[in-house]
Amino acid sequence: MKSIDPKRLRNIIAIFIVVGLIFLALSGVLRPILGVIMDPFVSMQRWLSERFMALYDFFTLPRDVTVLLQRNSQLENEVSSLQSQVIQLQEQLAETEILYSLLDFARSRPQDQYVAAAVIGQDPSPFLHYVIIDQGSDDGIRYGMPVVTQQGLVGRIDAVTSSAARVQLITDPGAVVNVKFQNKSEDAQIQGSVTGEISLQMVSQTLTINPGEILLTSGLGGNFPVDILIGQVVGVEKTENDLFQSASIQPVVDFDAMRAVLVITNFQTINIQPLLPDQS
Amino acid sequence: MGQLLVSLPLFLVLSVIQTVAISRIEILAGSGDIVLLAIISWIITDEEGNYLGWAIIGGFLVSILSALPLAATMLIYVTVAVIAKIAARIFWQSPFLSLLLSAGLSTILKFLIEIFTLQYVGIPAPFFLSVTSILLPTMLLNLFYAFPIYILMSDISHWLSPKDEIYA
Repeated sequence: MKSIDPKRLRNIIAIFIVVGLIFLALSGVLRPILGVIMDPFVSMQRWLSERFMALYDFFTLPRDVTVLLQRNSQLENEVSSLQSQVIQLQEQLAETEILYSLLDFARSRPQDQYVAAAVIGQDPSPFLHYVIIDQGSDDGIRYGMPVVTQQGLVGRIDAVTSSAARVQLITDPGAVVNVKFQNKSEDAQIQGSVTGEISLQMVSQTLTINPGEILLTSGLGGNFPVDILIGQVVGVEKTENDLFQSASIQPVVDFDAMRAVLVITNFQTINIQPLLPDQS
Repeated sequence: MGQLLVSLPLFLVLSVIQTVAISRIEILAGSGDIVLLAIISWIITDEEGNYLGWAIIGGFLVSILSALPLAATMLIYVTVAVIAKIAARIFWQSPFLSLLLSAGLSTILKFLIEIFTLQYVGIPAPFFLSVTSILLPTMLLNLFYAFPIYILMSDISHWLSPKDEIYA
């Protein structure tokens, strides 16, 4: 019988051991044993790695600080840029919201045609309550056209150039608007004042006015369309000796925060001056 | 000529700032008038300049933007220029005193002309209510704006016509 070469026998045994170990490893039997063997190595590797990285950081950190400072500067610039963009977008959003509100108002009154305009200035005289808008005769604006916002009546066009117009607000001391109560059949007038307050006038003493009552344009006189909201009564002044009672009015439009308006371009104002009796 | 070239755009810019910003900064119903203060400041700074020219340019530009009649606006600014000129001559050693005095008197004069104009055209303007709600706050704001405007106009004046400096 031919004897097996011991060297080949060792190789065969080694192969069997390796294959056996592979099977054992795949079957999971060796995992606890491997864990016991590998844990010290892993711990040592972790310890070494931490020390090495600390050493590495110690030598490379100054360069990284410079890089980080540059990066920080870049990011700060980006933040500033984004903040300015956010402010611009917020402004645009506010403007869009105003325009949407104006659009809603325009849709609610489909019989009227509108030109939207931005408020770009205010009369230099503190006595007068006028604003300047950025649309003029080139855009179809004409003298006397009513001006509104989504909240209610603003005033009427007082002067026009090709690219701008001046609006007399209803708070101006020279502004008089014929009004009616929402829930009453009585008519009256409102008039502005030098301080910007609006008062209700020409109200009969027999009429009972309560705070909170809503006032709308009556359309009398032909200067404004009918049923545009003006404001509400906040206080009533009634003196027995006077012919009429008066009241202070809170307008619905916030004239200080007004940024955009709508000009009603298809409203034909009626000049009733020739029909009035000659005062002279 | 140089003054005219500067005064026209300068007053244009000041008028725009007045309508866009200054008129909206209100105390009660009063607001400042930087065009008026610019005229006063220029007259006090530049004693030899054509002071009526500044007043006419300023008044004309403001009258374009304001609903106040042109005649009233021109009258206001020309009279203000005369007041400033007189104050500058009397208190020539103290320009700040001239400035404060002119600003105060001009504010009162402007108020009187405006209220008279409104009453003349039939617009109700109660006098005492106007004094408390418009004149006094406007006076306060004008005195507040007077110094920055004076410094600005003084710089522009020195830039346009540099004075010879005398060294001992």
